[in-house]
Amino acid sequence: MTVSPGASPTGPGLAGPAAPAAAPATPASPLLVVESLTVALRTSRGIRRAVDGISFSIGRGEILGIAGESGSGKTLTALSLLGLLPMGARTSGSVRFEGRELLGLKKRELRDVRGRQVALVSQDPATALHPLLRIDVQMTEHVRAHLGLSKEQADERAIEMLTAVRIPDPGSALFSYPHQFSGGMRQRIAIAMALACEPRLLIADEPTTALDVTVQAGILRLLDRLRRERGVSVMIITHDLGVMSSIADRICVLYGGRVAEYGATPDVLGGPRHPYTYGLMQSLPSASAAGAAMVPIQGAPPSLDAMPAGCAFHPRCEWAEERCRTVVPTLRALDDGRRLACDVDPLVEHERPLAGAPVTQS
Amino acid sequence: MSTADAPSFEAGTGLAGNGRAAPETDAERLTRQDRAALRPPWRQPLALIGISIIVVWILVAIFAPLLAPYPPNLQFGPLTAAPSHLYLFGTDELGRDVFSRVLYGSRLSLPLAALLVAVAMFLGSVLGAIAGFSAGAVDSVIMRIADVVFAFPGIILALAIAAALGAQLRNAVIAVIIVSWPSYARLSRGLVLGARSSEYVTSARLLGSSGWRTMWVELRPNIAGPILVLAALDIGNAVLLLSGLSFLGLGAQPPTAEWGSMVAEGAQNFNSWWIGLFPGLAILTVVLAFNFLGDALRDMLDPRTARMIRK
Amino acid sequence: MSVTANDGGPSGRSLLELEDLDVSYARRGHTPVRAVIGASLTVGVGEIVGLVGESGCGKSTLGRAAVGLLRPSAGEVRYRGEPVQALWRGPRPAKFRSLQMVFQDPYSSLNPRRRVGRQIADAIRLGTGARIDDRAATARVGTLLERVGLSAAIAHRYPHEFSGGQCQRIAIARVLASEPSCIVADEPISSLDASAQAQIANLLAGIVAESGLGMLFISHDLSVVRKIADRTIVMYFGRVVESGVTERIWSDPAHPYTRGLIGAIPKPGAGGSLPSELTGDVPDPARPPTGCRFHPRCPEAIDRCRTEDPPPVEVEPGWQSLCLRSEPRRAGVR
Repeated sequence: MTVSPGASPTGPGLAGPAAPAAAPATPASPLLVVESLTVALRTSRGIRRAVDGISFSIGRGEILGIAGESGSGKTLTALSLLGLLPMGARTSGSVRFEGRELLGLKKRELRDVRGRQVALVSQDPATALHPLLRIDVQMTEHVRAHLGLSKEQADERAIEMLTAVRIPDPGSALFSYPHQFSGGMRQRIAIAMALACEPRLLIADEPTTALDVTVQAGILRLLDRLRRERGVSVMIITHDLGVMSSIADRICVLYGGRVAEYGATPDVLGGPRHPYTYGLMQSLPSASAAGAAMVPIQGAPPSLDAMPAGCAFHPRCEWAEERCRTVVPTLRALDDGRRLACDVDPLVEHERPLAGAPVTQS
Repeated sequence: MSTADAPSFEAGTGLAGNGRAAPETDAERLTRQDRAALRPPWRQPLALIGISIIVVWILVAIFAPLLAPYPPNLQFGPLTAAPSHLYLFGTDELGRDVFSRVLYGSRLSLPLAALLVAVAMFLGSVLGAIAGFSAGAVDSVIMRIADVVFAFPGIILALAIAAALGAQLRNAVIAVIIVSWPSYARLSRGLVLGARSSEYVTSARLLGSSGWRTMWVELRPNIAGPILVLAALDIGNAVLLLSGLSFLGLGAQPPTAEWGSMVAEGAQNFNSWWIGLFPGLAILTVVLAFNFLGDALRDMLDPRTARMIRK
Repeated sequence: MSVTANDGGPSGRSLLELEDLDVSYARRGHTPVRAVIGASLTVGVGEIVGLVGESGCGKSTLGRAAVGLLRPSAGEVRYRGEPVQALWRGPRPAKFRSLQMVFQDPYSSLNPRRRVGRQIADAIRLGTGARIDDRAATARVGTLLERVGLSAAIAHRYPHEFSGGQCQRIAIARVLASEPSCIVADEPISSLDASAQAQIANLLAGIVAESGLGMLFISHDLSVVRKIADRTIVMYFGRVVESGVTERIWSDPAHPYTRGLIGAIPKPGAGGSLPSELTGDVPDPARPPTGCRFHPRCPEAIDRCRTEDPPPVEVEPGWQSLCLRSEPRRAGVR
């Protein structure tokens, strides 16, 4: 592992779908297709849609980044894929995993999918692992339940996974307790646990937010390696655009529960077309000159109770027009393959987007 | 009940297109029950009952002279007469009207219990706060004294103290105060220990706040809540203890109309059941009322449920 | 022995000086844990000094010792030339009340049961010792709230009514109320969401620029520190490993750890290159490695690093690196 900054990693780079060595995303048989997903919650002021008509897909061996701040609906999206929504939440739309509809599945059927085919790694490594159970117990429990392995077989598998995530001395790690590991190690163990049943899709919800930057680098490289070596697809949810840029093939930017922009990462982050994406990129410290102030997006993300009418971003948008206040923009396809939900489209350089048929109704 | 029940879920969200919503689950029904439990006290049935009872008794205490048909100590009527239209609760063995005595009894029990709890609360919470804030030797001394008091069952210790001081209502009150203050001290100390390392306390100290000022200005608003809840629950307890002492002859002395001593009388006249029952019921209703109220207050002040109520 | 981040700031006067500071935590029955070892730094008038490092590096401990919340085990903290006494029983002496701290979590640094206006007014009275009546206090509170970008009308509200970013502004207003000369900001933006982070960072930088305060800005977010700090100090495992002018360190870091740290930052728009990884973990503070504390993870370690504790090397005037292999450079030349 090299340390010098700026050197390219010792593996194939992560460009868009054209990258040779990365497992190609095959739109023909995507692993996961989400269409018009809506999650409605009861709040004290009535029923609100925390996720409002989201559509995206993930191909095999692809890493999709879901970007958004608090209130964008990103975590609920992940939870709805696994049937882990809070009490009182109602969903509609379609979530098809390998062709099979997940929404509305009975508990027993869902249990087969959850953990076995779709696994979740969440934000806080301190709470992802049970503090009082030994690692081998935690890691083998669900493997044995799903795959019916014996204890010895399950232990072997666990060691294999711990090795894959580069835990030093996996043999003795297996018989240790979570508190004996650092935050980064615990997150690796959580990833190993998630991988134990060889899921096709790994959902990582802010997996590195609580970690130091050097530790984060290790986890990101790990996820990339797992994708390349095992063909695991990853849905990584984070607000950190730097992380997105390093690891995600495609990126789906959420705002106010809706998709703002969705396409190949270099396109979306390199040349954002949605004012929100643009604002996010502009607000990064590296975007402004040294010594100059940072340029945050004015205002704050809307809370569920106070969602603006029309386009959710219009109160903070410098190009907002009259219609933005009343009409919810539809998600349109652009000619470079990305999708954009903005009726004004102020950032287009020279050409207008192809008036492609709207992809989904919001 | 809120109106969220009425329209169907789908209609409320206006879901179109592929809208296939999951059927209502057990989870949904639980939510409604949970929400019922979290309504503020003035909308909770038990707390309402509690408050009403307390209000009634307070009014009785204030207007007892007007409400009571006979003076409480007047030995006028027939001895041990059963309840009748003349003597609503009957008369005792000295011919006094039980009804009037019960009414007048509220003028002792309620104010005394309230006073008692106020003193114990103030004394106990200040001592506990000092213990929690100062730590070290001061803390040890105060809490060891509290531990000694805790070691005895309340009524026994109160009994011993009241007996030692002399059989008088004033001494009974002192005894119950001595028995009650440690609970406040322990609670207050725990709260202060928790709050002491908060950053707002650190900020205050960085600004130059002294120890006393920090306790009074910064900590007090944060610990008052649970302490007041304890006090509300405790008033019922205080009524019980006072009555208990009077029952044993160590509190109110004859001929004072006090519920506890009236129950004692009743115990000696079991066949005249009305002599002991009605004062006993009075104690019961007061204690129960404060318990209901205290429970509701505690729910209101628990940060988790309180947040949901506030929304 | 340590790197001295000594420059005194633009006007040459140091507000806050840490000299050879050691802060240790005692453990029952074990040797004490040394959280900060031999740290020296200065914060001058009108300058922002960024203190960066990862978990376990001791930056928060250093910040708290600088303000007087922790007692040093060795070395000294001086504020305006006077040794800082750690807070103990009595009220903090008036001469130190202009040395203040902004905390990480805005909700816990404000008293949840008191109105924000009252808390700010208290800070005015306590911090400056001014005896002002209520009306003057209210006016001053209003001015302070507006200074941090909030409306004066919110003074009667309680902290839970505000968002994280707004609460942090209120906390800053309260610190400003005591008319500070030096502020130690301990991860002031880490608990906030992205938009608020930039706003608060801008606010703090603006305050320093306007009022000529000195600020020690502690953060694990190097990108933000790069934007607002005049000088940067990098800590690793209790030691100051590099310190100097921010842009110089960024463009060509002298210490291997700093290089690793900067290389690990994922850069947006970098076209998909993964950040470089720094292998290994921070060692157990109870069992530190011999010699250089970074050598087990250092890609450039040589034999001597295992046995020798590196002395600070002056790479350029005002720029120091705690590494055996660092060499002085001629200014401007690689």
